[in-house]
Amino acid sequence: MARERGLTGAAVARRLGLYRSNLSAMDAGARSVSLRMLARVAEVLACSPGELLEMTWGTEAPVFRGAALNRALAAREAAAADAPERSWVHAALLAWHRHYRPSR
Amino acid sequence: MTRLGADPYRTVLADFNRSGVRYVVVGMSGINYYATGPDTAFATLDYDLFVEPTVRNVTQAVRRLKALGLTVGTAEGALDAAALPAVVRDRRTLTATTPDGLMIELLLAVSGYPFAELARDAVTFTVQGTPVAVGQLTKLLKSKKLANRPKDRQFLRRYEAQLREHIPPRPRKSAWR
Repeated sequence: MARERGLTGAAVARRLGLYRSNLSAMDAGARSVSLRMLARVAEVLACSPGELLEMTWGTEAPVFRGAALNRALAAREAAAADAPERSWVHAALLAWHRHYRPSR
Repeated sequence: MTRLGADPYRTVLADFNRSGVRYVVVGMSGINYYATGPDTAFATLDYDLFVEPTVRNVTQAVRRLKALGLTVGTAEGALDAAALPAVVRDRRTLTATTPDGLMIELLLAVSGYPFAELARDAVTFTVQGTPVAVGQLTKLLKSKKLANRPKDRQFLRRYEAQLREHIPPRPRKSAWR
């Protein structure tokens, strides 16, 4: 998020008056963060504290309830690791477009 | 046939790759690249590209799309070049439309993930030799979960049902043990 705002981690730490290592530890969840610090980080990054929390807690939870489903998901993801050819995806998109687009 | 060729999606992606526009395919179209075949893909007319939301990157994306003959706009109408910094600042969505009415959405924000987080472990698929950067499947699904719109919830239920069909049945315990 800092990068999107043209800031480096070091610049954010400087604005917060922290050492870079402390900020990294907070980012990695290795160091607890007070509500006051959360609000200050949000202010520096021009976002809401809620957005910061969503990015950490919201994305850590598994997608589905049930280990078997999440294992099946991981297997599907792993099967796509080596740049598979997917021309058929575009062929399908174009076919759907021809079929469903509103008549002009 | 226009300069967009038979597959405008591939033409745009190849052009973005060549010109250094930073993007990741997201949304249902991104999820479809992980399907094992057309029978496990989800019909959609959306094609969403999450482009790095910097003025420089978005300006380059818009320039390339216009050069390819697409019309670029926002929800408010045609895009005024002078308004681009405000569009980026407010993370508004841009649309790029081909003369045939095929639309590509340029998203400047997605639920749950900043651009760098999706780009850093994006998976590269290929389409007739063109590399296509697609967000990790788990992240694309989590983003839908976080967006939590009715259509996202409905899609996740359908995806879960489809995934469930592909889980091998657990071996039954022998009655003799």
